[in-house]
Amino acid sequence: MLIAFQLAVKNVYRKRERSLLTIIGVLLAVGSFISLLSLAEGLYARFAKEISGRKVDVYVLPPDAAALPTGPVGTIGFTSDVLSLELVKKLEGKEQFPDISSVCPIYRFPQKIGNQTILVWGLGEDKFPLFFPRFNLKPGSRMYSADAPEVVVGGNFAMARGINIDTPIVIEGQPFTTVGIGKPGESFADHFCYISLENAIKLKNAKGAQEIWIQLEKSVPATRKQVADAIKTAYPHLNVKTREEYLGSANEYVSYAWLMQFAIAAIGVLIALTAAMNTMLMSTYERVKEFGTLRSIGTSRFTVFFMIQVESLMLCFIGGIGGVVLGIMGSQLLNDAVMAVLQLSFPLAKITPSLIAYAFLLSGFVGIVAAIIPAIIVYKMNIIDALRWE
Amino acid sequence: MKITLQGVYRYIESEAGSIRVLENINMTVEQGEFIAIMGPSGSGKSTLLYQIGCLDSPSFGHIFLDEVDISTEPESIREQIRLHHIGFIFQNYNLLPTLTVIENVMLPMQLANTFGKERRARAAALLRLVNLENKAEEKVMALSGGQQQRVAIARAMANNPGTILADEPTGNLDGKSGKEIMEVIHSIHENQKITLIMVTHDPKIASYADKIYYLDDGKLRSTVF
Repeated sequence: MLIAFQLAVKNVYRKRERSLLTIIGVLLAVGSFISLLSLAEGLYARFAKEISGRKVDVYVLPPDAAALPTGPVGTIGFTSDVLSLELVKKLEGKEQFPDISSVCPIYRFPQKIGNQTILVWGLGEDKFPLFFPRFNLKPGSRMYSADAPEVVVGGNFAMARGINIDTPIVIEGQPFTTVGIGKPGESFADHFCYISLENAIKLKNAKGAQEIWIQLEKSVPATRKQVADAIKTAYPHLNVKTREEYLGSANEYVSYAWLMQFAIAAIGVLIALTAAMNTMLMSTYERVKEFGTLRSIGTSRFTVFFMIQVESLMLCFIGGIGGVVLGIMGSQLLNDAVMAVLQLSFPLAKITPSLIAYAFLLSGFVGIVAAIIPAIIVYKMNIIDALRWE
Repeated sequence: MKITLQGVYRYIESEAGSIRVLENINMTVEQGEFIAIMGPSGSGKSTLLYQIGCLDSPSFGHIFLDEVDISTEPESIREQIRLHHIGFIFQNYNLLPTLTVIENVMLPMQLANTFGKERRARAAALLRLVNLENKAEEKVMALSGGQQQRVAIARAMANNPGTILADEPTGNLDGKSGKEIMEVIHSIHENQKITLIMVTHDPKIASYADKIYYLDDGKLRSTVF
């Protein structure tokens, strides 16, 4: 088998320009594959991290609301329905739902601050540390008050906008004073602003909360399911989800984006596959006589088959390595572009190890498929015809 | 290696129908014998050589290498026979252009899993035998036709085969180079007692052989000793 590798290396080197063009084709395909899918991969990873980082056992949403940890973005997940604050009181009542330990109504709305649109969250100041245990305030900070125009700013957003304690921020035309700044981190929560629920409802003239988050006495899947079922039975018109269901539902949205990005990336991969197949076919037909010679001196059919596969895999893996590097750079550019266009305050793209593994699998797939026809031709070739090939 | 052909026929299918290329070939080549097969173009000389060399199978009949009937063996066995027991010398040399002279000679040994140092030493010895020891690291395309054919001779002997089959070994060479090649082939045959079967249309080249067979229209017409 070693001889197959040695001959494959020499053949790749023999037609350097053609090999280079094939490598570039694969490199571009893998690069675009990684760049595009890094957006969906980033969302998957961030959603999972975000939802597991919150201490929420059960989510209660209006009937048509989408489960998105970022809250409504554009028209996605937006519903005009709200949940009454009466419902909050009922859920808090120990008589009906004894397993519930805490209830947190949420109201979120997008707000343009400077050249960025960020989400402003309204939630009770006493609930904040309970439901966002990983959100740490910087020294000198404090939580906002319920009735004062005060805001707590996520660490990443504060850093990006140069916001300090006492910096005024205008929300819905009202000046708010920054009283707290979070430590920068990788969570979505570090990119948002927080005010009291009362202020949020007043500013938006809302009639209730958009979501209700619930914590249980015993945070285990079985209890979550039990309580969610009990709420559904009591309020069948509501959209009630356990933490696991909420994550699954959020991932479903991302999977649509993933599929769409995959479909676009697949076009590039098909083009690269065609180019690699053409290269391998041309290169094989140019060397029919050599394969005939190899067979005549005792090289097995499998060895020549393997030789062509190795040659193609080598070209595609070199392209794959370059593609990963290009993909990482492309992902950063795409992320910046998407953030600018959608005016997002948080990064979307993320290069995950699984994405890099997919990229190498893709390179391998292109390598094997591109060489399959030439390899079969050589495998089945009549030796005498090959020796007489002109 | 003793080679015996018994009633060998070879038909080739074409658009015009079935064409008979070889008809009832019966011959025996004793171990260490040097024979030449002569005949006009299209008489079936090369086809006969390829039957003996396990590159093709007869439509009917049997070919024995010593006691083994190679005409019925599967391709995997025939590959092994070609690798270990038969060496080929072609008219167009058929060397691999990406390899150096010594790499071309080492190739069959590498396929036969000969140990690296032994492989290199034997290849160097074979190159000395064909007077090309000073060209070992050169690319084969940089050599003259005569030199390339000498590399092909060294490659054919790489795995110590019992038989060497030469298909018009001087066909692409000028008279002087052709004579040099035949002297190399003849001396190898004399010294190593390898069975040698050579196809040629040149009587001068054929005269190096111990025995000459004439083939015409796929039939063995006569034998000259």
